[in-house]
Formats: sequence, C-alpha cells, structure tokens
Amino acid sequence: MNLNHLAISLIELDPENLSELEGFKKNLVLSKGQAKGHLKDVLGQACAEVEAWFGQDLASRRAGIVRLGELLEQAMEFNGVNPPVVKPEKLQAVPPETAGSRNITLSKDFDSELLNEFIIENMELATTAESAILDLEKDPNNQELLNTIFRGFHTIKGTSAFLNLDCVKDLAHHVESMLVRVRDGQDNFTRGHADLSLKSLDMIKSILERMKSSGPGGKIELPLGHEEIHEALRTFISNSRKVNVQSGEPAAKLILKELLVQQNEEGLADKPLPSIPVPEPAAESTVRVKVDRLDKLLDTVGELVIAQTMVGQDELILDGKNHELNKKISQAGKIVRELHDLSLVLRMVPLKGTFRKMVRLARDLSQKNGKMLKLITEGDETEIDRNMVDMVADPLVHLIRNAIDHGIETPEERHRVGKSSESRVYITAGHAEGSIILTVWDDGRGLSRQKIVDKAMARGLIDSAERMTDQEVWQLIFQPGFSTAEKVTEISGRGVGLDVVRRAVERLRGRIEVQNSEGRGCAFIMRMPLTMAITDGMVVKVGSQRYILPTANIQKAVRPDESDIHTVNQRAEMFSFRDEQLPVFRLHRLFDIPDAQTQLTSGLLVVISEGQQRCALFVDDLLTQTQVVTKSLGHGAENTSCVAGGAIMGDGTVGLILDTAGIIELARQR
Amino acid sequence: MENLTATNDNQTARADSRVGKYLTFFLAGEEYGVEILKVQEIIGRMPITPVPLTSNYILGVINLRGKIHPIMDLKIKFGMDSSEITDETCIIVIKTASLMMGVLVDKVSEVVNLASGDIEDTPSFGADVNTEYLLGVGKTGGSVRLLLDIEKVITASDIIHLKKAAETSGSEPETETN
Repeated sequence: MNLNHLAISLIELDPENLSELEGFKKNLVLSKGQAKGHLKDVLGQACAEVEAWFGQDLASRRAGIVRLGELLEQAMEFNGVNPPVVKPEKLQAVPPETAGSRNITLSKDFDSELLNEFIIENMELATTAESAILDLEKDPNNQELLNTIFRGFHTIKGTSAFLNLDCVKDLAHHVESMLVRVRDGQDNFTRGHADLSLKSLDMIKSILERMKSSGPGGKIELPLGHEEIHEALRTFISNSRKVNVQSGEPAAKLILKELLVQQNEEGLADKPLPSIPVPEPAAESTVRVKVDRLDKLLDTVGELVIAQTMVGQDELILDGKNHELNKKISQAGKIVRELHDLSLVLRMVPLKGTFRKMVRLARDLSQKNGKMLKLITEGDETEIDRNMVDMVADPLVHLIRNAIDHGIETPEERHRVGKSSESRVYITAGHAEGSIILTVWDDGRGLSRQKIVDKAMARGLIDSAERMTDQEVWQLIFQPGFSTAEKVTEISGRGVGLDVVRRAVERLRGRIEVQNSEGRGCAFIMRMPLTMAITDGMVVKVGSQRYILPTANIQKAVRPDESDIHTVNQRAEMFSFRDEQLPVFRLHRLFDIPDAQTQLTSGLLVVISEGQQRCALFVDDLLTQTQVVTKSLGHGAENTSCVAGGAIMGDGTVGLILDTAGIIELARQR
Repeated sequence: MENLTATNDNQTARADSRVGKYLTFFLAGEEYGVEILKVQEIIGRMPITPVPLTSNYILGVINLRGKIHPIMDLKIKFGMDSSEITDETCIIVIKTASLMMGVLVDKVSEVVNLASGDIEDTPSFGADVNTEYLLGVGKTGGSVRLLLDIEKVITASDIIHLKKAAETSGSEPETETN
C-alpha cells in the first residue's frame, strides 16, 4: 500500500462501516511502519486520528475523514520531495503463461442457463463500458465515467473468475491495472488507453460470442490476436509505470484535494459521502422477457382483435335490436384495440445501441484515415421494431464508411478550402408521417455530378446526362459496382457499398434519397416503416381468391383501354404506361386460377415495381386497403417464391401476401 | 440357437418403441394410425386458403388461433383415390419438435392402446408400395391398422416420386441394407 492507494481507499471509505474502517486502519499502520522521518510522524498522527473514530458518532467521523485527507496530503508532499518508492503492485503479478493456451474448454458443470445469463450480463457490461470509454475520450476528467468503466471491467473479471474463464478474467484484469493508474491520477487518460480498452472489450465480446455457440462442456478456440492484446497491455502498463517513476508526480493528490473539497461541502448537507461510486439512477426499470413469450403474447392479442371484430360484425349485433349489448361490445372493442396498440409498442427498442456502435466505428475509421472527425448523433431515443435494429445497422455502417472515406477531406484539404479542420458527421433519427427517418450527413466535399456522369457513361449506364435531373444522377450511385473513388482503400471504394445500402433499405420496405451540395456536403436520407411486422397492402381479387399486394410495390392501378394494350407474337401482352411499354403478367395464369376474369379491359392492371423492374399485373379487381401482420406459412407451404407470407384477415381466414420480386421472376421464366 | 434369441430380442426392442396409444382414422376405407403423442388436436373442416405453386398434396393454409398451419391431403400424398368431402372429414393437427402440419382425413375413428403383441412388422410389397413410412401393422379387435411414421410422411418430399425412383434404379436399397 503506497500513499496513493491509501488516499484512494480513504475516498472510498464508508464511515458507517466499522469493518471497513478497521481494514483502513491496518493499512495505515502498515504504511507507518514502512515510513521514515517526518512522514512517519505525519502518519502517526493519522493513526491516532483513526483510532479515535471508533468511539465517535457519524458526523465527527466524517469530519475525521476530511482531516485525515489533509494529513495524507501533507504526507504525499513529503513523499514528493523524496523520490517515491514504487512498490511492485500485486495487480501486475499475472504470470504470462495464463494467456498462453489457445483453446479453452468450458466446464460441463455449468448448466446452460447459468452460462447464458453470464454471457448476456457480460455483453451488457461490455457495451456499457464501451460507450463510457468513448465518452471519456471526449471528457477525460469525468471521474464518474471512469468509475463506470472500472465497474464494468471489475464485474467481468469477477464473474469470469467464478466460471474459471481465465482468458477473460486476465484480460479484464490487465485493463483494470492499466486504468487504476488513470484513476489514481498517475496517468492521464489518453488515446492509447482508449484503444487498448476498446480492443480488449472487442476480444472479450468475441470470446463471449464463441461461448454462446459452444455451450457448456464445449471447446472454444480463442480468437486471433488474443495474445497480442495481452502483450500490448503488459507493455503499456510497464511503459507508463517507467515514465511515471521518472516524473515522480503523485498526481493523485490533486484529485484527492478536489474530492476533499467536495466532501467538505457535502458533509455539511448531511449527505452520505461518495464512498463507493454511486450507480447512476436507473431512469426506467425494465424486465427482461424471453422473445418467444413476447411473440406469443403478440400473436394472442392479434387473434383477440380478430375475434373481437368477428363478434362485432355478427348479424345478431348488426341488426340494431340489442342496443345495450352493442354498447358493451364496442366498449370491449376499445379495450382490445388499446391492448393491441400496447402490444405493438412492446417490440420497440431505442436506436441508442446502434448509434453507439456507429460512434465507435467512426472513431476507429477516422483514426485510421488520419481525418479529424466529430460524429454527432441525434434522436437516439427514437424507437424501432427490434427485428429491424440489426437490419438498420448495415446500411448505416456503409454510409458512415463512405462519408469518412470519400466524403470527408483530409485536414489539409479542408484548410485549403476554408473549412474548419475538424469535420462533422451527423446521424439523426426521427419520426415523420408514420415512418422512421434516418439521416447520415457529412460536411465533406459532397457528390460531384460531373464525376458521376463521366463514370456512368464510361460504364455504359447512360448515353448522355443532359436531360437528367440531379436526383436521377444521384440515383446512379446506387447501381451495383459503381464507385467514383479514385483509389480502392481498405475501408471502401470497391463499389459495393451503396448498392448494398439501397437493397438493405428496400428490404426494410424503405426508400433512400440523396441531398447534395457540392463542396459542402452530402446527406443520405432513409425513410422506412416503423415496423416490419405490419405490412401495408391492397387486397386484390383473382377469381375466388384474394391476395395482398404490398402497397410499397404498387405504383398505380388502372383499368386499361383497348388502345393501351398491344400483343407480341399473339402470346405476350404489353401495356403503355407513361410512355413505357410494360409486360403484362396475368396472375390467374401464373397461379392457375380457373374462375378469373380473362378480358383485360374488364379487369385491372396493377403496375408493380421491384427495384428497377416494373410490370403490369392483371387482376380482377382491387377490393380494399389493409394492414396485416406477416406470418410464416409453415413447413411445406413456405417455399413458394411468389408468396412472402401469410396474414390473418379480418374474417379469420388466411390471406397470402404476394412477393412482387418472386412474381416478376416467375413470369420471366415462363 | 443364440443367434435366434438375439434376433428375437431385437424384434421385441423394436416393437417396444412402437407400443402405445394410437389415434386411428380412415383414408378411402383403409384404417390408419398415428401416435397420439404427436397429435395436437382434431379440428373440423374450416376454410383453407390455397397456396399457389406448391405440391398438389398441400391443400393450403388455415388459421388456427392466430398461427398459420399448412394442410396436407394424405390421400393425394399417397396417390390414393380421392373421395367426397363429408361431414366427417376433419383435420388432425400434428405437432412434433420440428414441424406443425394439419392432415386432412376422411374420418377419425378411435384411440387404441397397442401392446407389443399387437404390432407386426410391415410386410414387403416390392416396388409397388413404399413401406418406408409405415411403422408396422396394428391388429386389435379384428381390425388391421397401418401405423404411420407421420414425420416421415410429412417430410418426404414425394412418396410416389420415391417409389418411382426405386423402380427405375432397379434394386431397392432398403432390402440390401436390411
């Protein structure tokens, strides 16, 4: 125990806890025994002070702690004159061999539930610590953040020791020893600290991931780079220690001073001392529920809504004779609808976690690229369907990579054009018109119309850009294999990015738009529905069958004139739609429905689009608009490419949701 | 002599796994049985939504308390004559660990308890009838019931097709392995 440690444990001391006081006293006496000269006198005074505590009440004990702090401070000043004796901390004494084995085996004794709990809990801890590290980088003096990180690593260390997971334990332990020096004020929190802690967290996470798939008794191969991180941590710790011995600056006393002032102020207000780091008050209490239970609840509520509708539409109710009964049923209906709305909200989770990952990504990338960057997130409390969270992350990653790699200039370049050297990337989320809007915006160089047009012409995508609007030109960058980047880098530039983004957004039934200002920046705006679970659709009739067409894919429905339709080789048909000839596909022929309308002019042509492809689908009639919950059709019926899934209709039967891409594909094959 | 007892033991062991309660039903006059533990429920006929471009024995899908289940017509699957739909036609909902499927049958008969002595191995009919999806033959109270390995029936992509494949390949692989 050196003086720094004594000081720290003094800060953490709980004046109400006698056994803790006893422990502290022992350490103090020990230090006194090792001290020499005047230092010994000061510590002797301190011992006497502590001795007196046990007979005192709480208030005077608190005052005593403050006095003792002052004494220790004095002691440290003496110590500062003499070069400090850095004792080998026991924290460092980890034999390097423990990290040596590349394979670990999970004990069979743990039941899988325990293991799962452990993994989930530690994943959460790691995520919390990660975001705290990123915040601490911006605000390096924030003690509370440092404590959060500490708690994270400490708990990970504790629980993994319980499970005999040495590889995780040692990693957490090393990071802890590295951060101890920051907490004690011996080191400042630097980028190096952040890098190593983040990398260790990544490693811990990937070990946990592997554990998840192997289960109890399974063997896990440690991820690559495991030992390198251990090594890096060890070198880092021993280097920083050397530097500090030379400078000999017991910086902990500054912190101590600060805290003592705080304690003086707070002590009067009869508040408990900030003895242990107080966990930040949980704003909302939550309950963890298994996904399948939640899904079952949602299913049941959905069914209740349908049952309620069926009751409400019963002839006995509708004939208007039972006024009292009607009132009761509509009352029940209101409650059921409310329940339904509530159940839909249950699936929603905030985007915070996703945005956190983006902050991390941007940090790593900008460092790699030598660009100065500030990533600003807005609206991370916006909630989306939990099934969509992962699907949203992909396009965001691509867009941020693009922004950092291509959009943003190097600091020198920015300086030349008169921009501040630190660039900004914004990610914002919000609701509008019943959909989610996600924007990735950077203040970089923006898109160059000329470059895109040149590239597109070189690739033969267009002949001339004279008649194209800016929006049309921007849409070109979403073509597969399109990239205007001059060089392929590690991060992006292979021309796969934006194509992937567009497809991911379309999978979410969303759209992507570009707003650009050359030289000043570029924004990508994604609009998508709040939830994937509910499909907006139109019910179409073909013979005796009814199908649901997703509204997102419908461009227009028209009753065709004779003059709009042309036949090809007397077999295929074409429909003139806005100066474009679209192939006509008859749904009744594709699906073999016998009793359907066959006269084109008596039915309806629905123009559907899927990406770049468009066609006119012939149906008997459009019946109504509907919102349905997509469900799987189950084994044996699910492998039809034309059907995206089923939905329970208002009358309790199953309606089929058509997959427009599959239909176009099928029609082409015939 | 030792050999003989060994095979006997084998047979009883195999028969034991088949012992238990069976739900029996009729398909075109023949009586079939399915292990009761794999039956979730029996429901009356309800409106079935046909799914285009699926195998002909998949009649479509139904809504059972908010879950969608596919319905299979066993007679079409077995390549048997189809008969009229009557008031007694119903759907047996099969539930195993991996699948949920309704099967349409002409009539549900009864639940029988079959002891090992009541179950015989399926005789071989050559290439004409594929017996792979039969567990055996149950004989109680003077009636003969064909005990179905219902999971095999449902998951086999096409039983009639399998039979044809066996015919064209000339020799039956299962006779060789037996």
